[in-house]
Amino acid sequence: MSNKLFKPTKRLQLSITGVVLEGIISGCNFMVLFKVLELIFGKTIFFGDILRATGCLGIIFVLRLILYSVSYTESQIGGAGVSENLRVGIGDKLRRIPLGNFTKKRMGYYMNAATNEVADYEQILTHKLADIIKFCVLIVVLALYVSLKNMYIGFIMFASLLLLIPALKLSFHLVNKYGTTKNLAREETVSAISEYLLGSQTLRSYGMAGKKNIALRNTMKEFSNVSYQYERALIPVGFAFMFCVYVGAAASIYIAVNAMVLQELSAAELIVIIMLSLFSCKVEASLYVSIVAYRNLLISKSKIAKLFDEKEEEKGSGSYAPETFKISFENVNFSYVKGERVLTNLSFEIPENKITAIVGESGSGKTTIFNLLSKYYEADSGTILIDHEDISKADVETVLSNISLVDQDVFLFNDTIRNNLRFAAPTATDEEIINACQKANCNFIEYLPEGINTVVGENGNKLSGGERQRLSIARAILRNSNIVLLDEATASLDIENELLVKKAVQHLLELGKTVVMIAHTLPIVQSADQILVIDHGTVIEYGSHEELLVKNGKYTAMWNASKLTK
Amino acid sequence: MRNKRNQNGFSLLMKWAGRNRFLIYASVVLALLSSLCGIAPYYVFYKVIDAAVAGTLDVHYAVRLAIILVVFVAIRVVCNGVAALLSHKGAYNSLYLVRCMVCDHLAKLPMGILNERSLGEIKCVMNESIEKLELFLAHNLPELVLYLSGPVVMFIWLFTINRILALLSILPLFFVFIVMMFMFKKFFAFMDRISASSGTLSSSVSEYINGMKLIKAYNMSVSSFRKYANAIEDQFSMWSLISKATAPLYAAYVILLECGILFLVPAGGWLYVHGHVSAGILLLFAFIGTQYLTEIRPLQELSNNLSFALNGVNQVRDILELPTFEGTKEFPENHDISIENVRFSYDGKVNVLEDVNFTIKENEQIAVVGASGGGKTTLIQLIARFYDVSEGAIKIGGINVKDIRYEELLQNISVIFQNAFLTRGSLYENIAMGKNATLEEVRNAAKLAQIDDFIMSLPDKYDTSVGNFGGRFSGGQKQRICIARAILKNAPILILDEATSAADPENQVEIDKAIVNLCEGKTVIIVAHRLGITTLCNRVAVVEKHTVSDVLPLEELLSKNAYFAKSWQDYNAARTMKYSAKRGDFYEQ
Repeated sequence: MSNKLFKPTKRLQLSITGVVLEGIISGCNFMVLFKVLELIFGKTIFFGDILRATGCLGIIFVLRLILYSVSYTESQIGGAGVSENLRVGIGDKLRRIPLGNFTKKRMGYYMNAATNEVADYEQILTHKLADIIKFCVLIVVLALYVSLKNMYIGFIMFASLLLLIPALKLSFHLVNKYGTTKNLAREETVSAISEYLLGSQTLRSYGMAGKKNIALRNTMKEFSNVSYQYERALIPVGFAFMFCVYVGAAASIYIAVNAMVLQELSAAELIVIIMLSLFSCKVEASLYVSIVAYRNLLISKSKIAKLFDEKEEEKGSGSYAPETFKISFENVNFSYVKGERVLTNLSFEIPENKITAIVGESGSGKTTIFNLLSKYYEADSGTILIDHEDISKADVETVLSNISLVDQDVFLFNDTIRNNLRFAAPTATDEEIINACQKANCNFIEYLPEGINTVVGENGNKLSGGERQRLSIARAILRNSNIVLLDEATASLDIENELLVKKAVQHLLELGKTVVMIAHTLPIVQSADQILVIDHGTVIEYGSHEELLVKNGKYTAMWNASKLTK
Repeated sequence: MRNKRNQNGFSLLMKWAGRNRFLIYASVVLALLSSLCGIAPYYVFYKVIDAAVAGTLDVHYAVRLAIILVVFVAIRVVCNGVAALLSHKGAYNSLYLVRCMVCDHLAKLPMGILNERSLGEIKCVMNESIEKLELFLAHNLPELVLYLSGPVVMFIWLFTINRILALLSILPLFFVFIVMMFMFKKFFAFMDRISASSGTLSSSVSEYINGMKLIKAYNMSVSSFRKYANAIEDQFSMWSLISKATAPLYAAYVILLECGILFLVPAGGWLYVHGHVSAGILLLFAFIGTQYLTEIRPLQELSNNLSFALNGVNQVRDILELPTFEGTKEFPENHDISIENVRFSYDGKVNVLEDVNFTIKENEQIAVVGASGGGKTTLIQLIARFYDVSEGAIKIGGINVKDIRYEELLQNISVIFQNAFLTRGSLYENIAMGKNATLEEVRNAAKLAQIDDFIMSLPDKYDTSVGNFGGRFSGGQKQRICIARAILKNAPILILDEATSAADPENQVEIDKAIVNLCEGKTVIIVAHRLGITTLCNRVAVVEKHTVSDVLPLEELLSKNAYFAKSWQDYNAARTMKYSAKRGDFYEQ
């Protein structure tokens, strides 16, 4: 279906045909001039003939003007239409891509595909495609016409056109060969520069900034050299091609004059043939440039096509209707990158309507558990059950409908606070919304000029981190879903905000749902009903705070350490 | 210097290019030469017509003309090729020089200017804007010469053949000019709408993609998709409107460039019929006089590129014109820090700090506390001269920091911020940081920073490349590597913006130990987010109400400063808090 989206619409095809037709009509100028020529060589020309010829030229001109205006305008509109279809198609596709793919880097790529790449692809359709077809058709028509007068010259013109194939092949080969090196050097430079900028404070305090940063200079110099080598390889190809084409034209002059001497051609025919063969040289040059540009733009097409080829989320295949909300992991294995296990044979149970805390070192796999439970990713093996129902059999939306996720990564729509909350619970009354805000300590709303009707800006950028976090808790309170996944991270907050957020979380917990909480400090979860200690992707200890202390293992070590921190 | 502002983008760029500008100039000259050779095909054609009309055209003459054509085309191709090589060589060399210039200049800028936002912009300039200069130097400039000089040379040649017809041949320019004026006028009327609509498009697309997780969780697929699709639909209808208004004019521009034939054929014909010009001249103008103007067609596209390139030049210039910090005095032996009547404002309107007065004795350790956004970070940044104070003075050993050589000042103050920065080199290089240190010395520093054991457990030990491994270090480990680096540097003054990163407790204990080792025997100013840190310091400075209200030992401060007493209480409450499903269990006394 994606291929269909790339295709020019009927309207666009028609307008491209119009552009091509205009090109051919422009060739008719030569026919009129040929008539004038014949009259001149016939020595019987009068001013009336000239005026008739001018009249013909005028008609051709008006025809071209109309045809080109209409088709060019149509092609612009048609191109915009293809862009629209592609963007809508991309939006539709994005809905079906697994949520795990929505990482920061991938999202940048999606964003770029939907905006810039589509715009570049539109260029192909509106400019390059019509030009290329027009030039090709024009050369073929002219060569055919010339062939009727003199086979050899016609042959040379065809040969020049065919010479494009090896020339382009060679140039594309060189692009691939040198382009890869160039791209690597570019990436290297980009990352060296961002390292230099990010670390400028450190580099300077260690006297490694500016001229003293040899590594950066070398990288940039290398990029400069490699870029030049790329051009040096490519430049001769185009010019060599042009030279060959003109050599063909020079040969045509010789052949034509020879034929005239042998009386196979009239003087008028000779002039037109030489004119056409010189004219087609110019067209070939434009054609070469257009095809190279076309190919560069095709990169956009392949980038968009890649997006359409991405694996899609699997549709729910079986029944999934949990009534209670006990969660269990059974022998779950998972890796983001092949060969680097993140979760290994992970099994645990999370009781319904209790608080379960997950603790462990950073990188031990805590967040991954949330990612699997929210179906952002599918487990490589093993099963994840909610009330004995396998979540892999359900749609993401169905699984998520029972889950509220609260983490550091708060996303807000560019809408009012009221609507942002209402998205979480469409049936909520204003009273319920205000109540949720109060419970989540969102007192800052009172100080906003428009209160709850304040628009929060793009991704909530008009609010502070602490405010956004509290709004996300308000959202979870309002949503009142059966399972709450909580990444209790207040690292980036100051004391005042930290206390407010923690109190808000406490109110969320009081709803008595099934809570799974990733804890970064231990004291705060010591009264959790169950604590899972994760290490290298597996549960090494579990139990209540008191039970775990008795075991005198990893948890005890962490607990003792936490007593020592200031 | 005074006319620097007025210096135009091009000559500035040539100045930056240094000696490479001669490569660029040479390529321009070659492009001109190639334009001259560009007449050859037309000249040959003219000679063919002339000879054919005169009936003197024979094979010998044809061979001569063919050779002339090949020779001149060869010269043209070689000129163009060499011009392209030279211009690319010059362009890429210049790009390198400009990048180096920007990097060098950045090294002298006040650190305060290099905040997150401006770094993003500078990165964009370094990578993209500068890269666009290549397009200008290597392509647009020679092309501009080629597209402009080609028709001019042709016109001059035609002018020598017949003045009246030559003048008629440029008549289309007049019509084209009028059409272009209309087109630009119509297009500019849409400018506001274009930028508004593109803004909406990119923010809708961004919201749709970034919000996808929430959209699915809240089952908002349908409504969100509609919002996204509406923005796209709006973009389409806008471009349709613009196309309807301007595309016919552009089409007219293209076709009108060839309208010369409508004047040249009747005028030339009249002159011919009345015996004023030869058949050869009539045909020359009829075939060629009507064609050569089309070569200026790409100029319209070129003008866009030129403005892009000049924009890039301006962006680079803006960076290069940012004032640098200098200073002449040496860094003093004595490291008492005194802050005298300091007022500071970022924008010249709102004072972030005012009336700040206190001194820090050599080897004293001071914690700075206060509400977020209250000016804590600003205060320590002023001491390290990230910014200059708006009023008052900050002195180290009695010398105003403004007078100390900036480079030396930075090298004598270790600054450790929350975002631990590692270069892509090896761990050894990351700790040594350009210093000629033995592995022994590096390891000793790492031991004090509590990271030696971990590094020795890696397969490549100190040779482990951070570039390949960086992602796998935890935040806590990265921080300890940075601390090891600072320990080795051994600067007398230490400024810490203590991180409250999400390090697990065991890591945090190690970091705390590392910090204690680092601070030993140094003058330390530490921004304390975790108030517990204050117990390790000699005195605590409280930043509130835009000033430093108290600088006292912890015990005294607790009884004297109401704000701090409250924060201390909150902090301890937060630390002893326990979550519970039941109300009331929350606080533990």
